[in-house]
Amino acid sequence: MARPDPALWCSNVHVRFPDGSHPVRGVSLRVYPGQVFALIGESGAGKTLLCRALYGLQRFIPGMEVMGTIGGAAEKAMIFQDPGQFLNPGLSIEGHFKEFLKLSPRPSLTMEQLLRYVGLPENREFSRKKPRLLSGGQQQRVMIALSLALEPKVLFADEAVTALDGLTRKTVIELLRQLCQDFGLGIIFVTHDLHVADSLADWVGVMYAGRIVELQSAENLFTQPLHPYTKGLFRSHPGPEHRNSPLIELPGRMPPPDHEDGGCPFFDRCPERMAVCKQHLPEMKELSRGVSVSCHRVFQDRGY
Amino acid sequence: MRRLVFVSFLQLVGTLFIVSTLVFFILRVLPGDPARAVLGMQANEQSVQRFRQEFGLDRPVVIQYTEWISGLVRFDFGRSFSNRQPVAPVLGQRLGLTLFLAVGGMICALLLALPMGVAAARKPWGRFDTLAMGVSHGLMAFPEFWIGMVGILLFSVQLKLFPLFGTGFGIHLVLPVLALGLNRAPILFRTLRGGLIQESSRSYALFFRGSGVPERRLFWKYLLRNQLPSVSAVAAIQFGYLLGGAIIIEQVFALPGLGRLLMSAILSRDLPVIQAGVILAALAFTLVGFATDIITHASTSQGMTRGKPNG
Repeated sequence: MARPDPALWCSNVHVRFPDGSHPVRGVSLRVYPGQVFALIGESGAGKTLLCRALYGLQRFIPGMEVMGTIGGAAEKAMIFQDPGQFLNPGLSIEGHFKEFLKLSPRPSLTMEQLLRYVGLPENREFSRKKPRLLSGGQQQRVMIALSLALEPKVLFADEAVTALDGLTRKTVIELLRQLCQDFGLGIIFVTHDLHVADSLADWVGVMYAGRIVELQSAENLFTQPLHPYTKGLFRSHPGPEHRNSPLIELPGRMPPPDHEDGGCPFFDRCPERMAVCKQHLPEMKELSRGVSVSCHRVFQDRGY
Repeated sequence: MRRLVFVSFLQLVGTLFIVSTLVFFILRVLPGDPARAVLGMQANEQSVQRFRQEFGLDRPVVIQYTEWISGLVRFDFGRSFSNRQPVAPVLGQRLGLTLFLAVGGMICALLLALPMGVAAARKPWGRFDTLAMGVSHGLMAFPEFWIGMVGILLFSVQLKLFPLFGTGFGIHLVLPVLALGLNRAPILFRTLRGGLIQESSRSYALFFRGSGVPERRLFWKYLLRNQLPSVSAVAAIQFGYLLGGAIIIEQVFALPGLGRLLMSAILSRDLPVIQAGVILAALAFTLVGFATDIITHASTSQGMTRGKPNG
């Protein structure tokens, strides 16, 4: 069966700011309908800015310049971390829906249907509340329902479950999974929580210093990481497997967003570095179908 | 809301009681004899004594205070030492003009500040914003009496557009109202401009913009509406200053308002008029504060009355 067209694709996307910072450098990716593509990496890797660039928020962020090609569906929506900040404090939930339902050219869902879908009460008492009266989980579900009102083909979720407690996080993750199935949405999910990425994503892109350094299916990535950074990230991430073994911290720091392009940006921190890594930036190579990596060591080991 | 009204009413009564008590005793402990101040230093002891008896100044202060407070409850502010007329009707006549100046000044300030604040906030540090910020700096630096005097020189003496003086509520009040409005507009302008710029950079504005809410709609329907409570709170405080400013402006434009009455009462130690004037000013301040509380409560905490927080 032929693969459907991507819901979103981008090629060689860069994000720059006038102060010389270059936080996203030549990112290419594809997200297919009904799939969750997770972007993982340390804080400052460029995940959020890449997400905002792909969504088209640069128009509203002073100084943000996006270069490269972005294609796919025009119907996009975005949900954010800390939803309480992203809902209008002076507007009721009903007011939010009235506004957002107007934005869809042919709204096929009502506020009540959307609230029911995300598991919130449909009654008037709830819909007349102001956002601050809702719990974090309810606010996030309201935000998801508002995004659905736009009838998107692609949903960007920027650290959408980070601020939620464990049980609420699970509910929201299940809801996002459900969205993929029911609406055929392509979801780009930004997180630095590897367990969340593991439980939700179909595909994972590992970002480091503005670049995707490894791209694999979630299943492969979490069992057979290739890039030394990915391996280091997994070793340093707390999880049940670390109950009896200490976490191994990644030494050093990520280069700043205005670092000069030269060799591999992970060189200083890499336990598997080689001489060539200091001189030449490794390009992103597809090693096999759906497995891409950007590392001289991996290329050498696999004969590329 | 009912609770707020009840609490605010209690605060209003409490404030008026404290102000009336303080003003009564402060005026009584000031050095000098009010009877001598009214009758003149050459007045004989007999007429001074008669004056004291007539106005009860010879009785113990506590008795005077009790009579004063019991009179206040019946809106009886006593009789003026100067003309022996009841104070309340005289104050009523003069209050109209002062309130007209203050309300007119506030309307003028709002008419200038609101459109300018909105226009400036649409393009921060654009040409209009830079110009408006410069003008507001200038206007803030000059007191209202100076603006009034320049207005008289320019528009009345040189250009002869407005009469120098006049009676009643006529065209001669345009300059004093403008002087008051121009002096208060910069604060309101800056509050609105700063608030709108801050509101525009809030996360929800990014969510709305990114979701496709048109900029014009976002600005007028949400950003501006969310800023109105803080602007109305500042406007209420400014109204208090306008009342104070009106009292000074009345001197510049020789207008027979409350300010001039109070000034002459202070100079002649006409205690009942001073006491009544201070209480009236306190009442005006408290009522404006009360109105602001109601507006702010209605616009910001509507949701609180409609349900308990979840989670």
